[in-house]
Amino acid sequence: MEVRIMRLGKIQASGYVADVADETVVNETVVNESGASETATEIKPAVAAVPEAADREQASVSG
Amino acid sequence: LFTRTPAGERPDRPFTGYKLARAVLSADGTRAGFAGLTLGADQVYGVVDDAACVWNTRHAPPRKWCGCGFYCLHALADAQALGCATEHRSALLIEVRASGRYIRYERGLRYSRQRVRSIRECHCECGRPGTMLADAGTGLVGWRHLAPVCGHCAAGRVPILTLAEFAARTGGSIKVAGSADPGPPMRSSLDERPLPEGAGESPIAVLSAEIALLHARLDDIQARLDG
Repeated sequence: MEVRIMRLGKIQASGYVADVADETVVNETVVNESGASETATEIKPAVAAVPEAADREQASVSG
Repeated sequence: LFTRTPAGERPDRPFTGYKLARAVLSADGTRAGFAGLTLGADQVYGVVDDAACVWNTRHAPPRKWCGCGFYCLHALADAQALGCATEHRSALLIEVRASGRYIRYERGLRYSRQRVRSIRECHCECGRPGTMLADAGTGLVGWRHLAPVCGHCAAGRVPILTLAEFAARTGGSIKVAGSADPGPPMRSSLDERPLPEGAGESPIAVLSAEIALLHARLDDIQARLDG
């Protein structure tokens, strides 16, 4: 059977990112108008990669 | 084992990606998982899993000059386009979180650790959205491939699992499109279009009907010749 290949394109970068179970909960301390501090909770979803400058290698989608 | 961590980016959160995978069910029917489509077609992975190189176990995926590692695409539309290929029509489109060591490309990632988050969509061979999974008739040692089927085409096919039952057998917390928390809209306007007459019938049933019609016409011609 013919195996169709989709190109991922050129390499942009490499790196390492830690695994987390799901969305990251970030607690930030802010100071309100009366001068008292509050803790604001923000849930940051996982990021989508944004392509940047091209490099040189091509790759194929497998599985 | 060579486990050098590549220098470069250090994002604080995993990437979101989209990919195609085959649904598989263990021989005893108690466990479910996923299998790749090409290079990873013989490898079954779970909801959370680490990549292994199928050619060389002495390096850690993804190696730059090797094709190893999990793959995903940045854009949902690219994964949907890949799913149009004939050999991928029975695959599930899943959303994943990619982490660990990674190589980032223009259209996707190659990476070492994967967490399946949701089953975004799948289609029955008749074209309707898949709502259940049936034995595809193929498999790996210890695992049956499952193919999506719609309610119209599900009759008589075994084993039948709903997508939710399949997700439960993976042992993880996978969301399923159309469940209580479906996330962003996943259905296109194509899903609501009426299918052409007979599109949901099995090919054998359609062929049998055409043969019966042909026989009727032959009988009619014979009767006219005799008369």
